[in-house]
Amino acid sequence: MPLIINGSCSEDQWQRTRPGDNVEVSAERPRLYQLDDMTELSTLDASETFGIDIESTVDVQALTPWPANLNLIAIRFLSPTDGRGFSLARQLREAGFPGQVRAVGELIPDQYAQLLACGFDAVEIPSHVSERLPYYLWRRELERFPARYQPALGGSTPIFMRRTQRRSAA
Amino acid sequence: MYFYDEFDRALVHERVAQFRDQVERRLQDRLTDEEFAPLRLQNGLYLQRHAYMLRVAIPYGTLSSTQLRALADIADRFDRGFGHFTTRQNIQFNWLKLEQVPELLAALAEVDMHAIQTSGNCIRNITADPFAGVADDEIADPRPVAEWLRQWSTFHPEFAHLPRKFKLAVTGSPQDRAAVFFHDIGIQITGSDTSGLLYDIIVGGGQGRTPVIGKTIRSAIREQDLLPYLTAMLRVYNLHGRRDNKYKARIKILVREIGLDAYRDQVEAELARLPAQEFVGAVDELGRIRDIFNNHLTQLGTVHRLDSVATPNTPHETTRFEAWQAQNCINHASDHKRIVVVPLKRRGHPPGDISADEMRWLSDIADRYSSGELRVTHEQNLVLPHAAKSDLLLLWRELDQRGFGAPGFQLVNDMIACPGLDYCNLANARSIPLAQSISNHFDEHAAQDIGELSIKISGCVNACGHHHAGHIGILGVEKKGQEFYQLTLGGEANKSPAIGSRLGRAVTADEVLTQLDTLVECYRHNRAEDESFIDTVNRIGVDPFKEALDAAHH
Repeated sequence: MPLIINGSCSEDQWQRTRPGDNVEVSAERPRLYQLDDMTELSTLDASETFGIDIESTVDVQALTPWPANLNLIAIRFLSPTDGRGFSLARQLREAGFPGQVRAVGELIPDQYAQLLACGFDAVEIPSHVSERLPYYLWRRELERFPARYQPALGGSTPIFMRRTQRRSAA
Repeated sequence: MYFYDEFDRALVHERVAQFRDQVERRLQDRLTDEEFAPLRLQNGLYLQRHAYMLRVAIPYGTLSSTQLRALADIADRFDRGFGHFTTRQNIQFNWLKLEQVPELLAALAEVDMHAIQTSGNCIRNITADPFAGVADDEIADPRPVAEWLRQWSTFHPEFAHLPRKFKLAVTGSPQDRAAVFFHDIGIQITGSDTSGLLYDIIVGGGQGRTPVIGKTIRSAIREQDLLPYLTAMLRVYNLHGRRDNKYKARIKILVREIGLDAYRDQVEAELARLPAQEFVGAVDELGRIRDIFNNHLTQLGTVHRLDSVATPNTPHETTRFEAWQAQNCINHASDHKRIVVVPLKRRGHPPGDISADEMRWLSDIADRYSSGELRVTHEQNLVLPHAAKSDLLLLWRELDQRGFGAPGFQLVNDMIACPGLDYCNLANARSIPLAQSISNHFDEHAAQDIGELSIKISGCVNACGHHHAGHIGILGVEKKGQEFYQLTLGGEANKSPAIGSRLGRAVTADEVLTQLDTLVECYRHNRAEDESFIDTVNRIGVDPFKEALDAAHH
């Protein structure tokens, strides 16, 4: 499925695997497992970089402390208006998760700024959505609303800070 | 008042551009209807029975005369020359075409207004005491904190897709006029200490299908702890509020299902994990906003008054003027001024409705008598918050000439009604024609004799007309394709919040008038001297009223 990083279409380095899959897995590409299958991971090589895919109903506090080789958490939105994913991403970042946090679902470019501000850095959407709403629409959202009122992830300075900075500069 | 700076203005203009683009993509079918619906709702745009309706935000009900004039022009350009003030201090325009809406939003942006988050499953426009900043019983003006929360909640990235809508109200007086116990979160300023103001946080109130009186989750929270606490409250709700059933998705259901203590524990656990450094500096912003409000109020203190020496011309005028003054003029923080309520409840007009010409005329009145400022109340009235005492007679004559001079505030005809089946997709029964027939039923004299009595009408169980909180509530229901109305008694929005009790079976619109007469007669019969309707109900209980209805029916 198409993957958007930094407003551009990116090649997905990760490969999804489930127990019993007969698909051949590449040794070079890191694997993305579903959390439900994690009991199978006892045999996981501690040096192998891996990712997990969770539903938006999962309590992410239960994932801590995460193993150092966990490099991706993909959060599945059950619908475009399933807002739980936004809070889950915030919680992961606030807990210091350093890897990729990926939003998966039928999300649209109009939600991109919200996703980034909550700590997502990748969005995986179905092809039928990206065909209707091509990548340049996602890129364009990066330029919209250059300032926001709230403290947010993704490097933007909240408006209240900018006002303070301007007052001290004056 | 709050005045926008370039940051506020840039955001509102950017929002117009974004929505213009969303409408274009919808019209080109690049956005599906399902994708577009939440986007338009977060911008206050509803698809009603006949056309689109746009709800425009009037944050904490404060409006300048310039803004009201712009709303009048919008009513003429886009609606049919009318605007409709709502129970959450907003204004709605009907009969819109989708492709016109971006132009309408651009016209709003010119006067620092918008329709952001007036609908949808997000934090809605924040309401406050309509007498904020001028009430004589106020601990502190709630508008600075309401504006601070408006900014915090505007486009909050984490809370744009909540399980359901989320309503906040703020009051700064011990006498609650913002119905803080009937909101998802109510905030009450209760005092101050060396750190600043202190706030009580009330959670889980609401009306709708399941009316609930909110509970206090934290008392005396400090200013610097307010945003982190609200963030934690919203996050727990966002993660755990029910999403499987829209009728069980409000925070009141979450709090009821897990219990207030368990909810508080979760909030405090979340609070402990929030990065405190994020909110450093936010309190300075509250100080900046407070300075803007205070400077404006100080300026108004020195504004020139007409200082007329007019006196009533006839005994009849004296009587009517004095009755109006007693009913519609409220004590102001300054001894030289009064807060003047202008009820939008004229006989034969839907509650809250006002024509474009009347909006322009009231803007001029506000300029001459109220320093160019107006307020909107959740009872769907307008307020002139800064009227000089010495100008009251001249002001009243002008209001009276256009039919706004009746002493109606809080009397029987000062009703709240939702748009009902005439406009709304959800309604089971019409509200507006019933409100009109009630207002035709009680004349000015009868209304004064009955005294304070709030009738609130909702066209369905969603309770947009706040019937649960009416001294007499009227709920529209549908039976076999016919409209019926269920009356309730003893609700109260503010003083001591209460949910009304049902009175017998549902009746027809004509029978509602007969029942109202019976209830009023029962009150007249039982009232102690000067006792109001609701005080009598609270003293003698609902049963005597039920018995009176039964007796009248047989």
